[in-house]
Amino acid sequence: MKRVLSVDDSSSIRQMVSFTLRSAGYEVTEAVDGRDGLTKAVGSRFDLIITDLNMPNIDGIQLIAAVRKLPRYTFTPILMLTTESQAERKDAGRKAGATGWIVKPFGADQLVAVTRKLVR
Amino acid sequence: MNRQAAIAGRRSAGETMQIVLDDLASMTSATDPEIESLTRTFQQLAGQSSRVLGLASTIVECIEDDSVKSVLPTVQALGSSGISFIESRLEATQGISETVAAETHVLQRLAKMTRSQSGIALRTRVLAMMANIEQGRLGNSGAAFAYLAGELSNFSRLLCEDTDELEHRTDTRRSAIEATNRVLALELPRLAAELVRIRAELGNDLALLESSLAELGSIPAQFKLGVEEIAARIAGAVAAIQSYDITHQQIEHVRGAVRGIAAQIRAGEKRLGGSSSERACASLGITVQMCQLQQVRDTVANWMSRIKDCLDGMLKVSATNLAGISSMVRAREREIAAGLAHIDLLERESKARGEVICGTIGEHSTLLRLIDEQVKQAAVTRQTLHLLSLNTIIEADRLGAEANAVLELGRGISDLSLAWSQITDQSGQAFKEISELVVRIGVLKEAFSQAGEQRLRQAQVHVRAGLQRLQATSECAAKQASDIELGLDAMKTMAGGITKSVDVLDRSYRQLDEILNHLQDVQLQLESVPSEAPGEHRMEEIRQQFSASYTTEVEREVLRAALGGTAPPPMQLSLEGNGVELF
Repeated sequence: MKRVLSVDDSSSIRQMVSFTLRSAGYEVTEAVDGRDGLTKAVGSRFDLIITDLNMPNIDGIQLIAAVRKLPRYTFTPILMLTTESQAERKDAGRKAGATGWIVKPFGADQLVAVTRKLVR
Repeated sequence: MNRQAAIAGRRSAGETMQIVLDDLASMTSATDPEIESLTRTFQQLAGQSSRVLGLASTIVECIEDDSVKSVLPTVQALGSSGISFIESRLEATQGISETVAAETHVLQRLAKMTRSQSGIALRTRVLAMMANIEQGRLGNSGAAFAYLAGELSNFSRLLCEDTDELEHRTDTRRSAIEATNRVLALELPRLAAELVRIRAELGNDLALLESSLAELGSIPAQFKLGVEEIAARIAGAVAAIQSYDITHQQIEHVRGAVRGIAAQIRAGEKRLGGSSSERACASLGITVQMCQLQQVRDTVANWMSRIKDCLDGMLKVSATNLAGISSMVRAREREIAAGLAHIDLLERESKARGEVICGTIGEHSTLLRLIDEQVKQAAVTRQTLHLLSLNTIIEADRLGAEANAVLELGRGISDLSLAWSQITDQSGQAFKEISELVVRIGVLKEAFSQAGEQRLRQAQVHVRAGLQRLQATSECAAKQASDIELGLDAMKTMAGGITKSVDVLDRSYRQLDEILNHLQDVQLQLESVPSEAPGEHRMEEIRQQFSASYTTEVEREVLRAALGGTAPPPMQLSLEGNGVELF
């Protein structure tokens, strides 16, 4: 079963990501902020990472940059799930290594469809 | 006393700002755990819905099975066999009626002919007596004639006996057949009426069966629609729950901004109200926060209403499309079984009536034998009469001058022979007609035969096999019914829990109205002392100060509208959720 790491300081967002992807057959691990997310990424192996942008401790951009430095995550798709939609923020995310950008609230069908596309 | 004066008499702007901060904090602390609870219960509800859908899909799979789908064509085949069966019996009934009527006429003609033959037989007796008298008169010269007279005498005696016998038998047969025909005259119309009734009932039964099967066949499509509808409602609820996070962020940003403004106001109050510019900036800041909170209030009302709609939709679809499946399958199966049982009954009724008719018309075959005998006998008699006539003429020739009476006898015999010959020809014709009628009845009887029933029975066998498969589907539906019912009850309970959470959230967010009133009070206090509007430079500082913390586009749009004095951005009515932009 393919594994997804969901990183967000909002419990309701983590639960909705988990609910949506578990219903589609994925195993989902939750992390409460960027630091927790990085710890879990280092300690395990995930096929997809979905992270918020604005989080305490380590924000989403910093998390992506740190994860991309880990050899086993060089090609792992990483999606940013955030309320931000400004072009400069997206650009920063892309430069850090994000694969895609979702503005909250995400559409359940669309999230499942893109996950199936990115994780084979 | 106006509001301004009332406010002025109560508390300071700084104190009111503190109340605003406290209310915002209490609202957040009330809503955060409630949304947690709502989210957990929603996930349980979605899981339960998925379980119920799984149970219902087991029933749907049974219905979609080819062996169940094939029931409709077998019922249609039964229908056309049954209708054809009834139609052929109706036609045969009509045919038998007409044939029997024709037969009666022929029989009446035959009876007349038989009586005529009896008449001829009597006349031969007379001729025989005359021959005996002439024989006595001729004496020894009529020795040869004596033999002829003897032959004629025997012949006439035998003929009389035979024709009497035949007349008697013919009359007896005719009476019996007429009695049979009277029975048929009563039974046949009754049978025809019964068959018409049976055909109409059969037609109704078949229409109901087809309708029931069509309804059954529509269940998979309805179920699929139900599944899609529930999936859409769940997706709607997922998007609505995420919106809490967005409004939560907005409220946190407002709290931060209000804290800053409150600090400025308190600092100003210590310096006897602060400068005109500071009051104007504080007032503008409050305007911005009020606009943000108004937008939050509208958004919250929207997503809470959306969650309720999603719940109502899920329960409604589940109640109609899912709860109904099991009972619909069982009801349709019962209707179909009842319809088929009624068809069986109709077939038995039709068969019973047919047996009465077949038993009655069975006697007609004996008539044919009787007529056959009559015709053969008549042919023999004709030949004998012809011979007698010939021999009489020969003897008359031999007797010469004494032959007048013998000649007269011969002419009499000749006349009788001719008359008999005509009757014999007519009998032969009547025999042919009766033969044809009897053959026709035999053909018409075929409609009531086993062969006709065989085709119908075969169709019934196929349908019964289909009914067994339907019954298996119905049993499957019955097994799932109580589990589905329990699942739906659990969903209702969970939905009730979510509704309670939404009501708590609703009450908590109503504090926004009071918070907005407080902020307005503070503004009035600030504006009670005239001040200049902030300049462009100051406006830009305010804009940057607030937007630095903003994380959503809607906050920035509200800020622009508030500072520009324009209408706020329209509320996003749809919470369909956004797609993914891949780099």
